[in-house]
Amino acid sequence: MAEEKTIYALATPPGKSAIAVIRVSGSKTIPLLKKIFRPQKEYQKLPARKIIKGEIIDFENQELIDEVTLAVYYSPNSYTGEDMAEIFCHGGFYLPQRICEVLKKGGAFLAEPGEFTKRRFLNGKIDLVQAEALLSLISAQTEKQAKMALSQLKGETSLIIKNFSEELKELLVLTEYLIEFADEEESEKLGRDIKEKIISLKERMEKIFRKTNFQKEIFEGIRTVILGRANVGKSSLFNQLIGKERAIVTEIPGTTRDVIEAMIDIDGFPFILCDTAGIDFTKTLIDELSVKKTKEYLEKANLILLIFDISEPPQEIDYDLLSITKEKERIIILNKKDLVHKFPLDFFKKEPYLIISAKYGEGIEELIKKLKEYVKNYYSDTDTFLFLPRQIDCLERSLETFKRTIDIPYWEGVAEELKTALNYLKELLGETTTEEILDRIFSQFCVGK
Amino acid sequence: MAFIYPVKYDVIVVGGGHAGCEAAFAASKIGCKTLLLTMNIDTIALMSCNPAIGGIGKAQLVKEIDALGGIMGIVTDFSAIQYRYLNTKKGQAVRSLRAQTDRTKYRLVMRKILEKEKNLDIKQGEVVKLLVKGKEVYGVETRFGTQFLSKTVVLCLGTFMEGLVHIGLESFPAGRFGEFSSNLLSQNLRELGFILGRFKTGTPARLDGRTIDYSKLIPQYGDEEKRRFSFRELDLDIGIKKEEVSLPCYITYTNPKTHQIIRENLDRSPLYTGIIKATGVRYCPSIEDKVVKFSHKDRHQIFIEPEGINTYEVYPNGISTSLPIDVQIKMLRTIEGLENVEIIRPGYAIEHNYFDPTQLYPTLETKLYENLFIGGQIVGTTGYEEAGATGIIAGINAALKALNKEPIILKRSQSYIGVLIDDLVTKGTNEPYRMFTSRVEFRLLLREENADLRLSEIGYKIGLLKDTDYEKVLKKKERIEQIKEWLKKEKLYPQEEINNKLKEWGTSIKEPISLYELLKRPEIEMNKIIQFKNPPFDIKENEEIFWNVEIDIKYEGYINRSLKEIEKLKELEEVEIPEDFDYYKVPSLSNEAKEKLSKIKPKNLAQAQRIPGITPTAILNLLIYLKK
Repeated sequence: MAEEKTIYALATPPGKSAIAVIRVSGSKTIPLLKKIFRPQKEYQKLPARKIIKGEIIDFENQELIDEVTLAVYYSPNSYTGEDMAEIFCHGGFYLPQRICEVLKKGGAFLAEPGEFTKRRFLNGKIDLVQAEALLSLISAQTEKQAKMALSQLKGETSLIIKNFSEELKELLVLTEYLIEFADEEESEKLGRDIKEKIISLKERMEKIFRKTNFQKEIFEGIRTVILGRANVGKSSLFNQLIGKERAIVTEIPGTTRDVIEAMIDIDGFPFILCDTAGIDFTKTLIDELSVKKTKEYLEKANLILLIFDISEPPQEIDYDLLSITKEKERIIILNKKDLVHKFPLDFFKKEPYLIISAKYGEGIEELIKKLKEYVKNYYSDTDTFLFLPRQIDCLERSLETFKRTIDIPYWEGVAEELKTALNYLKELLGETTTEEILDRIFSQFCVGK
Repeated sequence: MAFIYPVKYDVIVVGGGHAGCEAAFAASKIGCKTLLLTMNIDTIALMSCNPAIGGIGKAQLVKEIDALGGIMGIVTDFSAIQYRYLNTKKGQAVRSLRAQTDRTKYRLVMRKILEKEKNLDIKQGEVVKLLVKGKEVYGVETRFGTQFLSKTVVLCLGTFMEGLVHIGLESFPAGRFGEFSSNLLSQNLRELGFILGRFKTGTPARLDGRTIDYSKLIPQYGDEEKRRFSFRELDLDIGIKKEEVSLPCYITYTNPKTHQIIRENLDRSPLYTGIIKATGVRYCPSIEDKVVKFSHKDRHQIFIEPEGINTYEVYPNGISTSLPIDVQIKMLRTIEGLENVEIIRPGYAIEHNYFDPTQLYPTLETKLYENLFIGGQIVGTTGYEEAGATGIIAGINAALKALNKEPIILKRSQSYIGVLIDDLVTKGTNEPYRMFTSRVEFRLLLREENADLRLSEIGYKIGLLKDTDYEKVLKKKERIEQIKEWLKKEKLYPQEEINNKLKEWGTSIKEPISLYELLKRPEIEMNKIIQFKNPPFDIKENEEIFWNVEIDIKYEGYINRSLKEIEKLKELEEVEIPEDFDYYKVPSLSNEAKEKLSKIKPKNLAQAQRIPGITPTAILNLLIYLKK
């Protein structure tokens, strides 16, 4: 039984450091401290939220382990809502480990990943959305991510979804009223009203959904796929982008050998660059294998850098690439500026394009500018809501269900879809949840948080 | 000295209203020696309010009672003078049947049916006390000292407990207008430790139909097709004939003048002078309430319903009132068609005690005393159908207990009755509880026309439903499958002739399509399908079954979704909580949760989850604890 156990964990990264922090939480925290902690002064009861000086000893052989300071919190006024202690000991690998061993010998258990926050949630101190925000905050890699996670922690995401769910409830109320009470004359008018309200809410939900999708990109990285037939200079561009004064944040191993990926940070926004150099674009896309692979990458892509060779006339495959990406966000690039231009510029009709030389690094700054513009289209500093992939998933399913109500001719069918749409939002807010969802969420936390 | 009646009964049912009748009939049919005690044998199954049975959400209850083997549906069919299907335009799955009935005939038919039950004794007498030993009930005592002993007791006291009738500022104790109230039993229940609350309900004046100018009213006729509540044979040999008639209702409206008179006299209304303190039915407000709370509406609809074939008395549905009689007359005479109307009996409000239903298990046995079951309006409901539904379950379980058999608990995913009882015992109610389809989360699955398919097996197994009736249901099941098979097998091809016809209805086909798939389209109904292909079944004979099949197919997507949800719910249902479980032992449950759970004593986690104020987090905590 997890909730009965008293747990401990090292809250700071292990390794060389001046101090380390060990957290203990659970009903046996105070008795445990009595066993292993010898305070400098005598206390009737260890004072709450005060720094207390003392020694940690191994209660089995009275051996002194470390001189520490320590803070005690009493239930419910603590992070988890249970009795808690934070032990500030000397850092390094050895001492914190020794203290942990003593805690274990004294009857405490090593916390599972995210267990402190899980307890905080279970004890009603935060809602599910806030719990998830904590997770994002800890794992945020760029400033933008951290900022959005903070606003979520304040509950602004919950507020937006709560408003939607209130409106859905209202629609459901009207629909149920129509089914149970309204006479024929009244029904017709009410029916029209309901459908109008549905359309209005749908539009607002869609708007938020589009924005949230971009937020998902911020968190997971904006998947930017470099696409073009063989030898147009995809890899050169890739190297230019990751090499030229941009720090590589992470090297991500490609999902297949055909694609190389790397993450770059542009103004705090993470872009995942995908070089499709390994995909054979020499034949037309009728070649099944190429089509399949290309499709896969296109589906996952948020943004496409579509490259053409300005030194050659367009080939059949160029037309194909242009047509299969036309529904996507894309930036058209004409490479090999340094060679003789043989590519007709009216090929793209009115769509803007960039002319660059990947080989000599010309036009890369303009491209970076374009990438920043892309971000600005979807993100403004005033947006203070944030959705995590799980939440976006719920919102999307809710929206999909909700949209169906427009065409359903039977009112009990409408009610059914409204209820389902509402349930997805409730799931997002954590109002209805299952053990499985919780475990999935909490397993993503670091131990000790 | 008390006189102990020499016959020992298995089950005693106290009260002969809609709940008591179902309870007594069920208990005796199941094989228990049963006694029905009523304060007045002439008012058995009296319809105290409007002379109609069924309607949205309620028809489902009647058909479920019928499927279990109860009698409300049959009695309604015997005494019906008009049938109408409601909601046919809003959606087929919430379609609900309603019947106008002959009030007098209804009670006579019911009484006849009960009198023919060989296991059932009917006696007149007021029960004033329960006989209790320790925590067990073993019989009842009447006003004049007779003690009747039994294994179990069912209380169906309706509005009689400390009933107080109000007309204007006058009030007097009564169970119904002109009938005694039951006060001593109410006191006895309190002494035994039960918690009683107070509700209010009301009824309009009854009018002399000869003084109404019907030419000014809008008639509303019944359906032309033959309708029935009961799927069973009406072969009861009770010497009363079913008459094939269809009498219309009439519609008229209140107007600003009516409303003005009401407003001017609110100082003489017991509702608005603070004399009536109890909670009324929100869904069925008095005309005073309608005028005050919906002041922007300048008219309210009134249905003039016939009281029966052999009487000119009519019931003006929609204007229940407790205003003084002179105001009642004045207000009625402002209404179109009622300018010269004469009142036969005045409208009135009644306050009565109810039994807080959270004191009951889902079997409707009390948590405090064993062998005591409660059903009907007394558990906090409103409506004949709700009363009948809890009545039959209380009767069935009292009988099963007397026979040492396992009780019946209907699930929410199985029936409206299950929802009704689960809501009452899990959430309680702070106003008279009325059934609605929206209370039923699986309403697309639980429809009135498949009540027999859902519940007749249960009725049959406990011995309440006759073999021949059950066989009828099995045949229906078979026929449904055959029709579905036929629809899957037969195909339409995109021929010009076919598409011409389909286009008339607003659709068309490009590929060959099975009739089954075609029927899923909103534009297509069964009667259109049979214009293309002749079914290998008699169409007239299978009309109701066609309907059944059509809804099953049209709503297949939703139905499958519901079935999946029910599966998911099962996981929680399967985590049972022992009756004597100590919630105070579960760490990290809030005090509020501990208190509520200890009071309701849910049978499993699914029920626990439905208790108001119990959060998913609390359920998670419980789950972790119980699984350990």
